[in-house]
Amino acid sequence: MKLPQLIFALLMMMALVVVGIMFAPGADIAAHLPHPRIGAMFSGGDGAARHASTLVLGWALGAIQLLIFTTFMALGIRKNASRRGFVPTLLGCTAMLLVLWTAVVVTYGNYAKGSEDILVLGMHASTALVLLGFWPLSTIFTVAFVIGFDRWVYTPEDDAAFERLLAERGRSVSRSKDNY
Amino acid sequence: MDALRTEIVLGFVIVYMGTCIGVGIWAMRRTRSTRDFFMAGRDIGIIVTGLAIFSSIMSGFGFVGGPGLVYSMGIASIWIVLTAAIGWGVNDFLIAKRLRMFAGFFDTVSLPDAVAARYGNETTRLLTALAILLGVMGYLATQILAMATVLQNILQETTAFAEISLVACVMVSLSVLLFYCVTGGILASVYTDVFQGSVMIVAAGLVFIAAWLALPGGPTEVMQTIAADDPEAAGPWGTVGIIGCMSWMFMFAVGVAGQPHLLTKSMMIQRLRDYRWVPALTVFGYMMASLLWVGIGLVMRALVLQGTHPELATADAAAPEFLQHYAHPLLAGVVIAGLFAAIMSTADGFLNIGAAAIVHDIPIALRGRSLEHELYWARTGTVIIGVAAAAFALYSHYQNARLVALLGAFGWGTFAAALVPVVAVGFNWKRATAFAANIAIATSLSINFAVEVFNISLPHNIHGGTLALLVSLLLFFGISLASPAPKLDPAVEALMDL
Repeated sequence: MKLPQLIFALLMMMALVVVGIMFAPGADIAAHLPHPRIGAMFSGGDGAARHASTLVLGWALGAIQLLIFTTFMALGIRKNASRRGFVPTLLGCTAMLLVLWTAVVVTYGNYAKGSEDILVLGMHASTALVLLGFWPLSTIFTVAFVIGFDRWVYTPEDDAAFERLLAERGRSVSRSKDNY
Repeated sequence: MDALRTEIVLGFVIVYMGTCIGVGIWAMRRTRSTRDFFMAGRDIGIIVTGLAIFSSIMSGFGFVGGPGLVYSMGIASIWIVLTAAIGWGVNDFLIAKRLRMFAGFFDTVSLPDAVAARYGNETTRLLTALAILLGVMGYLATQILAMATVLQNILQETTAFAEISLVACVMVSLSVLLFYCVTGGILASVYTDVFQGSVMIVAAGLVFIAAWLALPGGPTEVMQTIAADDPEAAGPWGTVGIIGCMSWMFMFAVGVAGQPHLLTKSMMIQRLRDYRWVPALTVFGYMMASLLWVGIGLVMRALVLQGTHPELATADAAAPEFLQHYAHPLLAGVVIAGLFAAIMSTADGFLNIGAAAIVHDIPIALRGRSLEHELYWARTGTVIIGVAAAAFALYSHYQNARLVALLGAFGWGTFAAALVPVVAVGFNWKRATAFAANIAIATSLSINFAVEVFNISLPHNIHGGTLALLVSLLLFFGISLASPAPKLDPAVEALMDL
């Protein structure tokens, strides 16, 4: 399957998940509530109840999005992707984020049910995974961009080819000015 | 020193605004053509490009609205800043190189110029310019109103200006903004961005440290206080829930690649091979500024829950209250200057792309050529857009408070849904057609407007902008795949092969 068709398929999957979410029960308790004591502050209410029908759909929504981000990045550089190690790098980064994302959802599921939780700096495991794991790891694509720029994004051959195109354009513009 | 807090803060603001005016005068001598005015002569380096892109994206919302969101909703809004880092990756891999190549080859002066070159279609140029103009007016009005409100709050603390009106503050702040944007165009904008971005990074780093020191138990005490009151607020999706957070993730991660003020600045770097280092600077700046967003919001929520600090009148008061009560006056001065920097660095980019839309893109789309004396009209157009946005902001403030909020909320989602398919995808996919691009833009604008104007709430906190982006992407891919492959200009094809 070609990359644009794959992206389209992923978008269709995402649309199906969104439709599923729209018809999932519990929409009336999904929104946050006003805080009981303090104005301008909200309260989340019962996490297990309001995520009862949407936690798995939410996981699917996040996982499909991570795949969409990856395929978008691949679309930008597909010319060089297969032969210079880009695909394994991109898949590796995405796999790490997917594993972490799954861990966030699973640990949250346990937390919402009231299971004992490991605390890191006062945060329970799922929040710590987001703030101390997912957030720093989200920069991994930028690191990959910087490290692999001249192999995957803009190679010296690309640079030479672009300069040739610019030179040809310059010559054609000056020829048309001469004719004029 | 605390007794001189207002004077110190005012001093920082005056020095900051003076520096912006100085940069405007410096840039005026270097702005001789429309290309200089809208594209900085495509002659800027790595540090300037990196900081200009970062400071354009981190608006006043990041310094005021962001902490307010964390204060009111707990961890939830972390998904906006967290996913923006992924968004930079999407943007950099997907479109940065391609746009710079189109800009260099076709000598474009605006994003719609590049879009017209890619699709060979003037309707696509017109729709792109209109989408930009609509988003710009809303965004700019909110930035101008925020800038004037902050200035009014500072001046009202002094005896000399205790009675100063909001209108006067709009005039003062708009004058400074317009001065450097009109004299120096985008060149002044990007060089003030360097100064503004640096101020923001320093301010955010210092405030983050000060925030954690505000409670004796540091981050642990903050998180335990919040969790003890409401476990969901301290959970990974805050009070919003997993679907709301994932909805933000899509719009803010993919949406980065559709923000025209960012895309336009990525077209200005002198040598394409230097772009390698730009994302590192941009992401570093954005991550630093995000620390302020998260730090202040969490600390103020904990302080209020503990009863150490009185209840806030509005969530957006979280950052100003923190600076007033928990920051050293010198730090407060730096941060207030950082706040002005965040607002003005975003506003100047919008002024520039808005002016390009009305004096360059729309005339070319409608009559096949741009205006005579384009540089003169570019400067005039900048003033017209600035004054119109200010008038709109004031009208909305006094007559209909929903207007600016409506268009402000509309901004990011409008740009994302209208431009991601057309620019980010279309510049990388030869099969994409102009018809699909036009339908995607028109549909995304309609959905975004309908959701905002009719105040439609989607189930489980799905964001309207996310729906608009998803639908426009589906239409763009679906229509293009169902259509015959378009015949491309050989130069466009050659650029897309690289």
